[in-house]
Amino acid sequence: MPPEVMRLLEALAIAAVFILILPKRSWRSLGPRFRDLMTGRRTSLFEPPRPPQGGLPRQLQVELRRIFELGVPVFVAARIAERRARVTHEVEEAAWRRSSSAVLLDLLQRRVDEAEARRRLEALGLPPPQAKAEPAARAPRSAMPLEWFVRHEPAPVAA
Amino acid sequence: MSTASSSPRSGIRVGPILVTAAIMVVCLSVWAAAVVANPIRDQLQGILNFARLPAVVLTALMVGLAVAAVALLRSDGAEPEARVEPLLPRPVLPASRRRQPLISFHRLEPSAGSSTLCFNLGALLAAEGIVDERSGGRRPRPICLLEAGDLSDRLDLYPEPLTDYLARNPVSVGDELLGFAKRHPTGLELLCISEGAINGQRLRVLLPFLRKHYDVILLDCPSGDRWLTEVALDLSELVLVVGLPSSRSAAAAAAWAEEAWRRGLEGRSAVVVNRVGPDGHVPDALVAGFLHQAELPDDPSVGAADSHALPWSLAFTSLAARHLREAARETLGDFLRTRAPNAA
Repeated sequence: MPPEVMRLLEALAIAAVFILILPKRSWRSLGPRFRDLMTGRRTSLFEPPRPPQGGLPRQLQVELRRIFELGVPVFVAARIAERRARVTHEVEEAAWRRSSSAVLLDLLQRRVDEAEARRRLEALGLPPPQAKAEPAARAPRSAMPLEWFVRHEPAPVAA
Repeated sequence: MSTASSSPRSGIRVGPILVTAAIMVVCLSVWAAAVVANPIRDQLQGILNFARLPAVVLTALMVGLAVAAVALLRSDGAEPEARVEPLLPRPVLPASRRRQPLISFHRLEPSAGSSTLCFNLGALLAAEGIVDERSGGRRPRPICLLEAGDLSDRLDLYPEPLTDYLARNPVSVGDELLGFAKRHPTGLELLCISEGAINGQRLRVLLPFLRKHYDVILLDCPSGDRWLTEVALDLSELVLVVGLPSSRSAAAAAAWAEEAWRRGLEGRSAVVVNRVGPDGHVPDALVAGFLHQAELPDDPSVGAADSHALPWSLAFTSLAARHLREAARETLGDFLRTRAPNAA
């Protein structure tokens, strides 16, 4: 092999390493994005990954663009963080299903009636929504006793 | 409502291609310098000789790592989010500590979303909030004074009864006012107001009465009503200025920020940037004048829910709801504490 071609292959191998290692998308936003992923505030680093389908070659083909754009180290970190975010998301969704928001949303979408919604909230140990505000019941006050008027009757003015 | 966020995966990004091209140019320059006669040719050949083996090993390692990550970190469930989530900063909002706070919403431009935010915050508080935790806890009863518009129409709310009542009772209000409020199934109560119906003086009369019967008062302030806006600014525990990530909102925000500083309201006013696109772009001028801010993403489910007068803030799948909850916990943390189910 001519030495020039040999040198070219060496240079291309070095280029390939840099291309595979370096992230190529907004470096400054990577930190906040990973923080959000780890706390479950978002579910994917940038765009959502395509749904898994087919075997490993198909998966690799689907992820090729992300591998290229993120670089392998960030891609691997993103896969781990996205997996964790997915677990957090599922836990939150399970908690939401047991919340009054889920029950009331079912009620609003007419999947359950008011009685069933009330029963479900009670079963979940959740307080029901407030009833309509009503005027405070006021007991009628008794009239002032006659003695009071007699006691406070002004003295007759002498002419 | 923009649906730009619904096609996140298409399009070629220039940045990664430019970076790759730059790497290729540098490496080919090194190669050219290593084969053409020049003073540093020997050094460059030495570097290429030295780097050859590590480069091949690292390339193989990276490829192996990528394959292993794809093979081992497979996710078999459905994707939780099918759209791009913009990178939004965490909300920074003042905490409201008053027992029956008044929160007023002011829009920076038409269709900024102040009515839907007002309604949805109320529904969220009514459905998820807790008051009097020591005595077992009950749901709060918020009231939302919603400006007449599309949303109020869909909720079957009309401003005329309240307008007539207030015209007949200009100096005081009685319990019969409760009859005009419509109860939403979430426990939120709604009153519809039209521009000019509640002026500043009437708001001062109404407020003590509303505080007697409701835990939170949410006012969707008609933007044309200058007098009501003035009084709402004075009386509100939290002034939320709602805008879009547009130059029009940015221009209007400057005047609001100046007014807030002039009156000393900066500690209890915040800008809410609604419908932030997938690129997360928000004009600096829109948020620069405010100490407090929150951003909500563009979410197609909001428009769909609004068209059916459903509170999207209760839905788990709504991206905007997730961020609204986060913002609501920040400012109304006393109402929205996390509470374990079956705690009773």
